[in-house]
Amino acid sequence: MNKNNNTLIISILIGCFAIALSIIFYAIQTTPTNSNGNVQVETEKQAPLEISIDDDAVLGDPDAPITLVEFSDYNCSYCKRHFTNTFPLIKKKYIDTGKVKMVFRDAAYYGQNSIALANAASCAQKIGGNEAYYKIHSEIFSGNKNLDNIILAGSDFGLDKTNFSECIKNNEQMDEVLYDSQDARKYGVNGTPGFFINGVKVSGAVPFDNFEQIIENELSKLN
Amino acid sequence: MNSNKQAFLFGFTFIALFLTSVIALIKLPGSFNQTCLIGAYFTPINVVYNAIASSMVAFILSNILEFGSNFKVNSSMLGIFTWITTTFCIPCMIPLLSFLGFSVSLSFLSYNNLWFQVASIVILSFGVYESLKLKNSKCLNGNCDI
Repeated sequence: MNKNNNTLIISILIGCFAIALSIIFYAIQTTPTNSNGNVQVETEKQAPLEISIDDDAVLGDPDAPITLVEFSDYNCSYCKRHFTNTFPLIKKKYIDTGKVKMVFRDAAYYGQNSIALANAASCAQKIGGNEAYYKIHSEIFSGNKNLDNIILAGSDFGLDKTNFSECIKNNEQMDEVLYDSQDARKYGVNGTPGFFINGVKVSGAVPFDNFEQIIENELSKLN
Repeated sequence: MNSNKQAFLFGFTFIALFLTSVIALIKLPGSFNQTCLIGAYFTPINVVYNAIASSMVAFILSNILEFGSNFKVNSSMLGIFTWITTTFCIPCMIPLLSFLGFSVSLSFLSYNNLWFQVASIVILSFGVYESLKLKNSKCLNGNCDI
């Protein structure tokens, strides 16, 4: 009896270690890396799409030749990573120099809180225009996700506190948020963040190099 | 408790844990290619992994109820914690976890998901081994119905 039990124990342990090794092997095999050993991130190979910017806030020169549309969720950590790490580089090199205009559209996929935050930012645009929108947008991605604090921040930025507060509490821009989210689904943005650079789709919080390559390619087509 | 009751307890616990984990895999945000994506972790390998982890936890728990436990068996429950953290993308869960105040500090977990899966299997294997050892010693002393 003891011998059988010991055999069973050893068999179970061997099986479990074999499973663990299989998981490791599978993960290593299915993770493409470049010559530096970094995980490769591929941009989508499909024909450029005609992406609507609807009436969403534009950052940068409205006449810029390149349009970068971002579909994003305020509760997505990768969206925050893009905002923190990559967006400043894009802004400095391309948006501030008039080569790219950026349009942020909502893909509020992760619950009521995501929709509420998107509604708040959209309210800022409704009351204070594009500049106010991007100030509240930055405020939210910087970590301020409490609606009362967002209202206070808005009033610091010059937004009428009563109107801003009512707009947020009454969810006056929810239809706009939901419309943007539906558009995101329509364009095949299933995960966030998702980007379109003159219709060329880019998925995920990819490094700045990926954006640079595509933008430079689009700029060269114009010359 | 006899072997039929233990088997029932094992089966019930396994089904409850496995179904819960599969529902979590399907409904909660996962991490895929640097995007937050609902259901990203619902892959065949994760379903198999969760089935294995569920069965190991169910086995350990049913053994604890029948034969009691010791420090080594109890410490293997750490494997449950590491298992749970592999079921969904922790940073993607920030809106759900933020009331606990520590969600941001857990963000590294999603980036090391595979190693947490391996760690949970290893720790739970240890728990299974110790549970069986405890059961053997109790049965040798005549304290079981099996």
